[in-house]
Amino acid sequence: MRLLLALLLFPAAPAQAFLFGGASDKKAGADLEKMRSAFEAGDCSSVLEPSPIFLHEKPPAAMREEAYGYMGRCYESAGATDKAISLYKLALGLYPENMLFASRLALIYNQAGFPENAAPLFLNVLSIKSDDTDASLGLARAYAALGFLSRAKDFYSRTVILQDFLDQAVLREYALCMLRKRDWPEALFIAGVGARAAPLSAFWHLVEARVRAGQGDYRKALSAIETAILLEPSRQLRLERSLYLLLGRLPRRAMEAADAELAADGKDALASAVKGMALHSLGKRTEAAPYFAAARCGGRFTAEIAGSFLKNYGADAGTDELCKK
Amino acid sequence: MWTRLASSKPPARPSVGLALSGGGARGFAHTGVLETLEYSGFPIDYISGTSIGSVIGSLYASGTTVPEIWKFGRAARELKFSKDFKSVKLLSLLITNRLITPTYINRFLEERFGALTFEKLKTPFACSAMDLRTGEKIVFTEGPLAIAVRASSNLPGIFAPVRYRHRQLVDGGVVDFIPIGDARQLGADWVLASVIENASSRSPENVLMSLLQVIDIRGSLLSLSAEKEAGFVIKSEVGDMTVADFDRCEEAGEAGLVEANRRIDAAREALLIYAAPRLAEKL
Repeated sequence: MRLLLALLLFPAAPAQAFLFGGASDKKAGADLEKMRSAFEAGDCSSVLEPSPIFLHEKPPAAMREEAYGYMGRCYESAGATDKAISLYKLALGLYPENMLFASRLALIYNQAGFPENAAPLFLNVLSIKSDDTDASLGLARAYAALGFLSRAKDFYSRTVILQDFLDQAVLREYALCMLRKRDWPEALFIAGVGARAAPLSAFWHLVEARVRAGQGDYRKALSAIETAILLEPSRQLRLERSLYLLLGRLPRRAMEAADAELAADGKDALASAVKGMALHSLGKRTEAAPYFAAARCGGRFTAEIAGSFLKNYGADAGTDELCKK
Repeated sequence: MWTRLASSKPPARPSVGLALSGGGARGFAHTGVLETLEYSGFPIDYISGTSIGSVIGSLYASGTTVPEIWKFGRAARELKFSKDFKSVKLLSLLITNRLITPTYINRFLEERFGALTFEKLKTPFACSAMDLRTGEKIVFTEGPLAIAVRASSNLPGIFAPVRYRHRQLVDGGVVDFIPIGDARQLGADWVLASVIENASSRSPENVLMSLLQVIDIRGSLLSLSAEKEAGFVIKSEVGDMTVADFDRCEEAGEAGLVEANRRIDAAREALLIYAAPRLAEKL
């Protein structure tokens, strides 16, 4: 008994290493240090290559947790998304409090088009750190993708406040989400903030135009879109203006706008559709029909709208041969 | 164009009906669909519903907001709807030879609608039931609302038929799972149907659940031909929920919202294509 006690009190060096893992921990610590340096230097192959040996050494939990973080991000940067997902899922099971794993996994899910998987992970991160900007933005995006627009608004709003309204790209996303939600006051507010920060950007005037159109105020919509056109002229903006003219009960001006586009490109299907609809609203169906026939050669939606008018006229809506010519 | 369509009223545009199918607790998916329709400004001039569709449709038609309907879904546990189903014991049904009365569902409908009539609804509404004796489809468009909705959502073989005038009425889903025709009869030119995808993938664990699932599957089969009459169909998949899982209504609602969000642009396009000539005429 005394002998056993003495052995326990004064263990030999190898036994000490066996019982408490001293030498092994030191080696693992050294390996982890190498992985850390390699990660910081952006050398992912030097992070990933020794990782199986490192993990085989059964390092302490804290070291393994740190290593998983480097490995996961290296898998991500190498484009090995599946490996990164597997690793983060494993790591998250072992270290559920680790925000990095939850956050990275959620970002990957969002990017890969699985917002339903991303949302609970972002919520988990935010339950630990409520002012995490990336998680808040990620959650807003996940909710927006799923269609939970009220919830998306909460988190976009939180994100832009955390960012002091400085990130134009996020403000744009937020504004587009509010347009989708038909939340006109919020979209207008964000458009105002965005325009003050970037007064030469046509985007914010376009948002304002869509808000005004959504509210049924086509005159204000026209004014806003005309400012957008001055800043960044484009066919798309000009045609949107022609639609506002039409919807604002100014069919003759809408026709002039459509004619200008048709003068530049006689096969412009959208311009043809606008002109056709303007003529239709003036009761000139015979004159409208050829424009709808031309619009049948446009994109699917334009073609189907035009087909709907032609069907209404009792005309042949199938103009596939005409479009081939 | 959409904003013009959304903000105009018939006859400046075609009138739009919303037909809500049956589906038991799974039918709470209609709430998510309604939320997405509101986001997109989808016009709804008429509503028709069968079974759970009649419950959600009547709430909406009476002016209950979508957030309030969500609240009912969340509170379904407290409202004890599931208890009406859990109280069904096959042995007692056989011994007493009497069908039971869905106490909690009835209480909810009576408290919610009271003396409200179809005529006082904010949006014209129709719901259907079946006369158990004749097999006739009975469409309600006038008179007291609560009893009509009760009849429309009254599962046959389990709950006692609702006696109304000279009729003995059970769930309308037995004869018309998606009441597209009812919406048209109300006056809709174009109908959007919200349908619950066929029965739960979960195996029924008892006699009652088997019966409910059979009714649900039969309804889904009926819906296949009816869907062709709709201008557009949003079909929500609600996973392994059973028709009696009223404790999981919110989950069904979220599934409906996700599916409606996925399909809403196509639905808007379909309506715009249909409506464009009339819309342009009235500019």
